[in-house]
Amino acid sequence: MWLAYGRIWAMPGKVSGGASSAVAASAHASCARFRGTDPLITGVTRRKLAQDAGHSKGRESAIPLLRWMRAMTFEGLVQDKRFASEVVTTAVGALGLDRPAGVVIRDAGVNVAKTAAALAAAHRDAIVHGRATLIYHLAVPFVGFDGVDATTTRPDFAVVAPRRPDAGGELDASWLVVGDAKDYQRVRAKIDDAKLMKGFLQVALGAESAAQWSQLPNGMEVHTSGVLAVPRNTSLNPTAVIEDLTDHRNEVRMRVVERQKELARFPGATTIDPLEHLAHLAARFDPAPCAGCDLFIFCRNELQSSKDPADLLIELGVKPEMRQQAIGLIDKTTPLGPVPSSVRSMIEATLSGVGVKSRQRRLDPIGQPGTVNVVLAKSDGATLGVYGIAIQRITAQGAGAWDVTLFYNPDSDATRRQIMKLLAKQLFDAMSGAVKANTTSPEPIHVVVPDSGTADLLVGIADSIAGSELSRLRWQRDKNQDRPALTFDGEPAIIPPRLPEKDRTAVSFLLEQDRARTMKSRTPIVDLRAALAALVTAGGPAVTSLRADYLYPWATSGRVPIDFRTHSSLIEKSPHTVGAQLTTPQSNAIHEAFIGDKPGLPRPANPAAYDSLVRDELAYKTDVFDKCVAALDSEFVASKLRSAVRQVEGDSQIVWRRRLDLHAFDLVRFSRTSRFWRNDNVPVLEADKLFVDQLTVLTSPLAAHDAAVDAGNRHLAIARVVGTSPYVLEVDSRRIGDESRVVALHVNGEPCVEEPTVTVKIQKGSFKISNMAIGPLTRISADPRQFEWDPHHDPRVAVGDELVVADFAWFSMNAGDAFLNVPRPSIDQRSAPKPDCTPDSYGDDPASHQYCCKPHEVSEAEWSDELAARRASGRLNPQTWPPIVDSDAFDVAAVGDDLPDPAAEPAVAPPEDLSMDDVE
Amino acid sequence: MAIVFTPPTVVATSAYHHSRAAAENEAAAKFAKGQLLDALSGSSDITTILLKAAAGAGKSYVLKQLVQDAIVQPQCLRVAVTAFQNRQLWPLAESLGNAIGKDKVYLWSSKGRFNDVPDSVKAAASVVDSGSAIPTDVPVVIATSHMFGEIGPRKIVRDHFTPSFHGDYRFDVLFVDEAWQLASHRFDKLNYVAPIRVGVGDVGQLSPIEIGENPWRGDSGYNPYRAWPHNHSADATAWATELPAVWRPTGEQLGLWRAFYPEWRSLNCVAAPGDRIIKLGKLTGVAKDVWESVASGVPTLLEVDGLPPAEAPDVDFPLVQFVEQLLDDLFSAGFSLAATEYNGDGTPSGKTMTTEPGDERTDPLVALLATRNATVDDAADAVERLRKRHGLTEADLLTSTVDSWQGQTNGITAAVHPLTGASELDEFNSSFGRLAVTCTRATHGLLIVSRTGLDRMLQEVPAKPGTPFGEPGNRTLPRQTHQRILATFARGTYTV
Repeated sequence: MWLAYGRIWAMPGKVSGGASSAVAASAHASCARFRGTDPLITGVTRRKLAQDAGHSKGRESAIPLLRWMRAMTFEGLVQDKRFASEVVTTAVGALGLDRPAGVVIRDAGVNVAKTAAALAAAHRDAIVHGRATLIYHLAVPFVGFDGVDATTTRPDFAVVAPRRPDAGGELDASWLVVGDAKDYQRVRAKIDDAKLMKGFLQVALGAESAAQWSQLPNGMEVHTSGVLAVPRNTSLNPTAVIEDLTDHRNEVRMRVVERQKELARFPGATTIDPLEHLAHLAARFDPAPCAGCDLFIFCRNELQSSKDPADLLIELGVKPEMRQQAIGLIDKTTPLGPVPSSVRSMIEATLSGVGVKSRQRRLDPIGQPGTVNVVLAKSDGATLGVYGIAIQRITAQGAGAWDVTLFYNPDSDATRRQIMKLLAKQLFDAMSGAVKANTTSPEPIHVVVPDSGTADLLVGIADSIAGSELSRLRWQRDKNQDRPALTFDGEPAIIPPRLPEKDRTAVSFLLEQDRARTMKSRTPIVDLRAALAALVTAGGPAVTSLRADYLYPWATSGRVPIDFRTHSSLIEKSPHTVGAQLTTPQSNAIHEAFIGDKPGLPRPANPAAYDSLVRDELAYKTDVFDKCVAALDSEFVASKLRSAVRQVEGDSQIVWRRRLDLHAFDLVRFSRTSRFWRNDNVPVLEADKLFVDQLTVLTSPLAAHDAAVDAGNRHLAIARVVGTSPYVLEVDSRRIGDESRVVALHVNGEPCVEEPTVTVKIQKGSFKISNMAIGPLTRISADPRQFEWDPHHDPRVAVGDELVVADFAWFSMNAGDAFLNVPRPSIDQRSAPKPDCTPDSYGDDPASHQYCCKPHEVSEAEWSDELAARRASGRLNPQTWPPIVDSDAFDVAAVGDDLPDPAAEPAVAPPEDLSMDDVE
Repeated sequence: MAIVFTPPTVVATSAYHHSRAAAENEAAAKFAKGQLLDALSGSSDITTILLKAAAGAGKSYVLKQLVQDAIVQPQCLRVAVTAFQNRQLWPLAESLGNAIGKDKVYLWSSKGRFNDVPDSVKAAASVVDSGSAIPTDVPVVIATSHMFGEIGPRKIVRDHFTPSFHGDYRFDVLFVDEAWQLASHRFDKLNYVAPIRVGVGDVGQLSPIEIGENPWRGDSGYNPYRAWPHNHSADATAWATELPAVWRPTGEQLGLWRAFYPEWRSLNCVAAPGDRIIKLGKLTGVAKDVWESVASGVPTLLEVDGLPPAEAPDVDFPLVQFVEQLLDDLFSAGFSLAATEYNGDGTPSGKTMTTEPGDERTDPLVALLATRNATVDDAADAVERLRKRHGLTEADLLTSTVDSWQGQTNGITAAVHPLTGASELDEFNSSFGRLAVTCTRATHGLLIVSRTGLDRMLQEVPAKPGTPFGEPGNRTLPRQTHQRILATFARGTYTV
């Protein structure tokens, strides 16, 4: 088995595996070393070159076996008769072409001659019979390299469809729509745009090659659009996405010319000593984007061996325009320019081996009663696959034990439902505990996760189950009305099991988080790593701190200084991770224990090994989790505004509990919300942003400093005290000056709001902060930057102190200087039950309650009736043309779908020269 | 050292000018009128009429005509005219007042902005700060979308005005100027106003303002920040047409205009090459080379090397100072703008209009446009100094943010290219709506400056996606779009 992924492939013996994808060429175009190590120049792949140079990325960078099997399974599905028709009709319909008379499938056998024959046959089918054809396993001479020893590009598939008949009704032309199959995972129902662009660049390479191929049948033209087959939802069920390739093809042409130029520079390519050649090429290194390149370790090692301070900055990922400003931090002689605090802290931590604390205090609820900690071990066999979960609830008595559960059917719907059941129990108990502690205004509950990937996985699971439940309600109505239960495309549906009432708490809570995800003041799910990262900056490239196990040791005081390179190398080589995604070796090991070495064994094939591997993985995750929490507790104190932040979440959860209790609008993910809800959320979002911006600059000296030196920010400025009786400030701002009223937010990097004299009062409309220094500025001399400052509360600052001041009017319209009022953000109450709605309200008076507490049961029944009416009048698939795209794409199946299981058989290793970059 | 400007690599081919170009707009306007009258009389199901214009197409003129066409119909008792900004409504109120009479056109201003309404508007139209002060038999009521959408004014509309010809609505038609700048969430609040809506606007310019990160960008469903006309792209009750000719640019700028509207079937320009002339006084050195290129009517891009480092790529005081020096030389040498005048149908009248600094004119001679806050301040300081030095008025030289200059016209534009100093493509430096506004204001000359290295940067940066999937708009990629635009400029480099 094999997979092409639209790369350049050369004939064996010419250039071994001569692969260089169009996407990689575009991503690394600025790097002379990348361009110069084209396999067509060096005769070897970059991976082999790195190995030969002794700096291989190792097996950690390989594609996990199961992930590879999933990619192959998906590609296979696109060739399957049933799903191929779906891909073809969706694509042809979206391109505005006529409905084809039928769909034919042809195999081009990864062979140029066979591809030409398949295209000729498909063209005939199109113009004679009006049929569309899906051709897979194509091989087309690579654009611009016609003479280079039969190098080919291999699009996964292409669709040939009849063009519209000409004015005389004659049909003598066809379109060739080039495509690729990419099993991109949907995160919260959406595929990332950058991923889609990468996919379409690959398609464009195929399209561009096909367009210049002399053997294209006469009358066949490459369409300006291309098609990607991607999963319709979290299952592997494929659908088609269309894109105009004009600019993508332009991009490909640009890279081909670049490549040809590079080849021309080394005409004697075959005589080059690759290692010597490599050493002469200058790299352009950036730790984040370069991580995808096979030469990453080689280039990084080169920087690490250098004594030049500038190379350390490059290794750390400091942007080119910033390096000259920051180099003084390393060489201690060059004058310092304006360097953002985040960059300065990162460099200081790198040099000292000790994390730099931001002097911000804790706003997070981690470790508080009402929080539920969750870690997951994800399976690469499915978007929502999970091997095991560990859950821990915090009560007033403290943290309970981690409750570990393993799953023996990791990629199944049953496992997902089990996860919701486990989580729901803890959330329900947390909620009951909060209500017991305070019946009138219970504290909110939170799920705490080690990274955002875990949060996305949990919400994905909830969304999948919610979609099933809503579908089930519709089909229940169909049943009651003696109608057949049909999928969106009109096929008999498999009716999913009912969502138990108790489990709904978790599903509903996670969807509440999904709807609230853009509101930064909301915290239904708390990201442990992000909470820690706000308080401490680690040494080493910022991208390494995206792992909590790398980050937390930097927060712990009293330990030996950390060498960031040694530490990061340990983390890179660790078999375990803290987040949901496993390392490749661990993923492979678990998969092998699960599946065994031959098909047909029971699952898990080796239960003891499977259990121990998954338990070890979860033990690592919970161990790091505990250490992060311990670091938070021991190293950082709570902010005065912590309770205010929790109050904001609490206000919203009151509304959520009403939604949950009355089944009203509680199973709706963000992308399914109504037009009214969205309109009403515009001001809510705006208020949220303002609140979070204000909260951040009040509590974070780092963020406030960066905002104050940002030339584009009008609200904050740096001010130095140059006189004390009266106070005279020298203000670095073009906006804040004479007659501005300012409030001091930070003095010498210490937040004023955390001073002992300051109090925070939670009021109905705002958080009222007392004893902050607020007062007007008045020009006193010819110096345009010096002002007398007359604050109501004495900040007791001294000459030479550095302040961050903010324009008071940005916070409040108050006339007095005694208090700083931070407005409370408004909460989302649209499409939610009102405080006085009861379970009977809607039934008793539907008209008055249709927009607040109408339960899902009623809404779905109405929608079911509407769909049935549309179906009866031929306004749904498959009767309509072009096919209607199912924007909900719920995770439900039709009878007979029988999607293949990527873990059905022992995995086949992916080709050596492919990396995750080719799959993702 | 003389600067050699290389001519654009892309110029507009098969272009129409004068009456042949203008006739295309006229034909589109006639069709629109027909649709509107049919909609009013109830003989069609159309409820939304959209006129898509490129910058400087004379769309406000068409809107004014349609308002006049509507109010003489027996099925039309009263129309509302709205836009997002006060500044967009003022000239409209003035020209409508002049056309149909002060007593028939009421501008309903907020109390806060009443004093800002220019005297010329107050002279031409009736301006009030209370809806109740508008006589109910007035056929044209003008107010911002905020005003019509707020709860208080909505109540006034309901209670004060009598029903229109169309049932319970208080107005028969709602006209929206700069329609593509008005967000859906705002427009939804205007649904109560009238059953028929006519939107006129520039589709290639700034989209509605989004605060922070818009979570609905790319949502295949409804995006409340999306311009409201996009909601009607597949609506059987909507009718849309393009106004395919532009009046504002020089004939030599047409290639640039077309680069901003790549998906249009046709885009032509009333002015023919040579119809507009900038006469320059005695200039020397760099200024001579630069202004001569600008005076040729061809969009001019000057890349400058050797300046002191900038505070940030987009806060570049030395570059603004460089532009200030060029403008200083221009005003010192003196210059005038000459333009062929056209009849209403686009044919040259045989007359030429000439203006120069010191003349009274509505549109300023020179505009210095800036994008981000601090650069706006730097540009304002530069303009202040130049005004003092040369005794200039607002009509001679002004500065503005690009965003608030949308819809405005000036003789010569000077601005900084958004990619200057950048090391990657991002949302701000690849906001083509904003770049379109910058590049499409000038009737005579366009000068864009930048630090050197634009081409190299565009060759090397990683590819970035353009408009998110699911979002309306063209499917071009930012790198290629920038390249297409740059190809229409005459380009030169200068080392300080």
